Amino acid sequence: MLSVEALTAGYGRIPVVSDISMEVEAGRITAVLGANGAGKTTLVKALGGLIRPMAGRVLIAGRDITGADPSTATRAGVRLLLDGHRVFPDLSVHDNLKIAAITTGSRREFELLCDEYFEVFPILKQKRKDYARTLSGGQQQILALTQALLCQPKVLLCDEPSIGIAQALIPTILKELRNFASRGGAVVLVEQQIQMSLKVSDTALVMDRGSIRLSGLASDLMSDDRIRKIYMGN
Amino acid sequence: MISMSRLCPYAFALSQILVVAGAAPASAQDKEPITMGVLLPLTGFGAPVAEAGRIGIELAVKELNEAGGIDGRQINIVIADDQSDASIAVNEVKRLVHQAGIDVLIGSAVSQNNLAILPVLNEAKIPSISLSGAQTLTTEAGPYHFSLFVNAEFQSIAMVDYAKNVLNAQSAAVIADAGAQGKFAAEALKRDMEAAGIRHTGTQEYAYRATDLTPQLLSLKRGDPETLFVFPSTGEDAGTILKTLEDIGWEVNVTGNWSMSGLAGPILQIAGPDAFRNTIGLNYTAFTYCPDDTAATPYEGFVKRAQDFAGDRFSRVSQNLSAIFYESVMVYNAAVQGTGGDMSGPAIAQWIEANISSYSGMFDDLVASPTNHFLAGPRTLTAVHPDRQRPGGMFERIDCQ
Amino acid sequence: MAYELAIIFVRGLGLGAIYSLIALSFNVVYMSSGILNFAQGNILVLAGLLAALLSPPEVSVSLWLVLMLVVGCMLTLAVAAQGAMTLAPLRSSTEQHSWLVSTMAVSVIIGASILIVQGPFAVTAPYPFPGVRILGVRTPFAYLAVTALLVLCFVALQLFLRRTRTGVAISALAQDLELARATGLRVRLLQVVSFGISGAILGVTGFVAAPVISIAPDSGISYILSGFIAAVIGGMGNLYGALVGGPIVGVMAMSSAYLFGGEFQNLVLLTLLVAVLMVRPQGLFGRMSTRHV
Repeated sequence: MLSVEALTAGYGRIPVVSDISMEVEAGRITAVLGANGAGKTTLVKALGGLIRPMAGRVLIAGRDITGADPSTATRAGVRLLLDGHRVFPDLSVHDNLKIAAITTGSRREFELLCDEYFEVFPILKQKRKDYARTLSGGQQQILALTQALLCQPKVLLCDEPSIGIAQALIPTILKELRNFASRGGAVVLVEQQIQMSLKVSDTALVMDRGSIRLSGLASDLMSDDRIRKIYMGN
Repeated sequence: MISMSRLCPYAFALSQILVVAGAAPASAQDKEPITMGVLLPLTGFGAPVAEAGRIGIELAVKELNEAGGIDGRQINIVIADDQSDASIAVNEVKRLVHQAGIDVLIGSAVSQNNLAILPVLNEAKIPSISLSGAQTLTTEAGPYHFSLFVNAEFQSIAMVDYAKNVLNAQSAAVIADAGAQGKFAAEALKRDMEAAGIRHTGTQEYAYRATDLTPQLLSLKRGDPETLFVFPSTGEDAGTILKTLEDIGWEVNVTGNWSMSGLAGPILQIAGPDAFRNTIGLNYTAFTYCPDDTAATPYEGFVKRAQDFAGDRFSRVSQNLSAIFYESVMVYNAAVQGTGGDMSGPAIAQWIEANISSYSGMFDDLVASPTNHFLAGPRTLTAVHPDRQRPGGMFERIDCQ
Repeated sequence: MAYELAIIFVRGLGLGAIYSLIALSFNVVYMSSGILNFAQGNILVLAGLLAALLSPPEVSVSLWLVLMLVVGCMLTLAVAAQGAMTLAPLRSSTEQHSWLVSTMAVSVIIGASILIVQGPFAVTAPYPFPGVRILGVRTPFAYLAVTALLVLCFVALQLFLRRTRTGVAISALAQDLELARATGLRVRLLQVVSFGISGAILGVTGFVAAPVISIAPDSGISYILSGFIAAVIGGMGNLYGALVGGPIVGVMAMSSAYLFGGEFQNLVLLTLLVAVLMVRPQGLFGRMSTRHV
């Protein structure tokens, strides 16, 4: 679904990740693991178009979107869910959803799509008219996730969706990611927490200092001692 | 030339000093010609003044050359453009002095430019006659510099004189702009009215081109003065003041400065024809008339000759300003004749200081002294009706019978 | 004295309405891009100049209304184009600041063009409505017209920013630019649209207020200053703040000239600005928030 070939990206002239190649399959959750500063966020920002890559290629279903800005990337099917449960604080929940549904044409279509997610997350329906800033961190993350899903992406890039939200809500979010994958979507899940991520994903890769050091099936990696070593900086 | 240079002022800046006139036949003249530098803001905000200046200067030089030149020497004009900018003015004057070798400079028409170029002229001891009324142009700053333009000090004397002797005003208020000239005028007016025994009821200032002067005028109205001294620098400001007086319904006698008549065009445009009902302005006596006058004045003669000389160009410029530039050349002519051909700055300055009061041309009653080089004294000016004009920029005097 | 202050209050409100409209226009662009368009003062003056050049001496009300729309449209397009050019070299309008120079440059270019076309003199625009007597004092109708225009623009902007998809998206840019990009909003396009809206506001304001603004090559700077102070006092990026900030500036400027003298006008305004920045840096209506960029 998403092919990355020899990607190098960073800020200004300084590369943060270099020579990354990976395949993200439809229907699967791919975990990107690594310690703080390993380059995970830079990688997904480059894939989502927020950072222009310095070298390499990004293809979505065979279409080259290298260097495309996010408005093109999202319409091609790659949507980045930023970390930190970010939503538009001074817009209502409804307006947050409305502007996120960039690929939906008619109002009717939008309402139908919303209703689907209101069933999954009834809290959004309840707080539909409230300002997003009045929501809790977890509720905001649910809103942000729904925003991302509303543009009906092929590939969903999730940057640390578990950070800053109540522990009790994490399973709800991970479950929805699994649902998305089971409907044929591809998920890239960036996380620091190893066990939790490996449990929910199908495949995983481990990054350190801007490169991929290890990859494989999540179930295999679960018992692999090398992950811990990489985390320890070795 | 002007329109081209307006399109590309910077290309023009690099270019040049234009040798324009004075290509009179180098006939039997055995004396060397006089090189007269002319520094004008041909481009930039001073451009309309420059056009008036060029016509006046070129006409004066043409007439003098045809009459045999100054002291038997033909005059060559070298024109430079200061682009209304002081730093460019300095460069251009250096060029005029060191490369063109000028004997005298007419200009500039921009006050701050004059202040900037004086050191160059002082060092070379070259006399200059400018069109500037700024009080900062003292005889120390420019020992060889003179101006025929009205300054604030003499306008103030003339205004207070009118208020005292014609209006018999016992009290007065002052409104002037916040520029250096306006601030100086406000001080001078306060001082002169005190000396004349007129009670000062208030002073207000405003920023150039303020669009609403209601608060200032309402505040002055509180003092209930018998006349209001108005000292604007632009016609727009003068117009706004008169219009606001009408708006707030304050029928006070307005005693205005030179701008009030000299810039009557834009004032009328803003304030309408009724605005001048209670208003007088100042102007050069030379530019005035009484309805019963029959004999043509020297100024009328000038206007006719300038019309023949420059045609349509002349009808588009301020004809008064053109005449002042013309007269500047004539004053220089008188000075060179007076010194017996000595054209150095000190000699010219000394002659003007000692003898200008006996000069008789378009302007009379000129004044000068070792401490004053503004030649247009209080008696060169007179009170006029700004709205009563004859063609050529002639104003009806107040003191007509 | 109370009577005179009442007169000054009325005129201060009228003048303040112009400052409010400039502040609104500031805010629309600032919200979407973080850019302060310093060319706004001269754009306003340009609209006034167009009013003076296009209107025949005895302009009828219907022709005046048509011309107002024409000038509004012209400046909408012109300022949108300015916006596109300002944004073109920027990867991020909040992290790079070349707009400081480019908006100033546009201001200088407009001023110089007015000087070439019109000369250094101020011009006056014909107006189809005579002055009206308020409190016994003839008041230019333009003050009333521009006050009505302010109310209209404010309401229209509120509706636009809350009800329409484009408007909501522009509000979103103001709240979190990176999130807006990640969401897939067409950020550049929205920013250019907001420049266009600001041009529409300035164009119509300059046209309607033409008789009471100074239409001269060098007067743009005073409008920029007053409009900016109004925007900062009210709270940068806040529409209510702009609505209230303008009249505060207008009334303060006029009454300080009346009470203390014209030379104190700027002093009082700048003191007010400094005081607000010290006590309430976010402005009267601004909310402290961490803005993600």
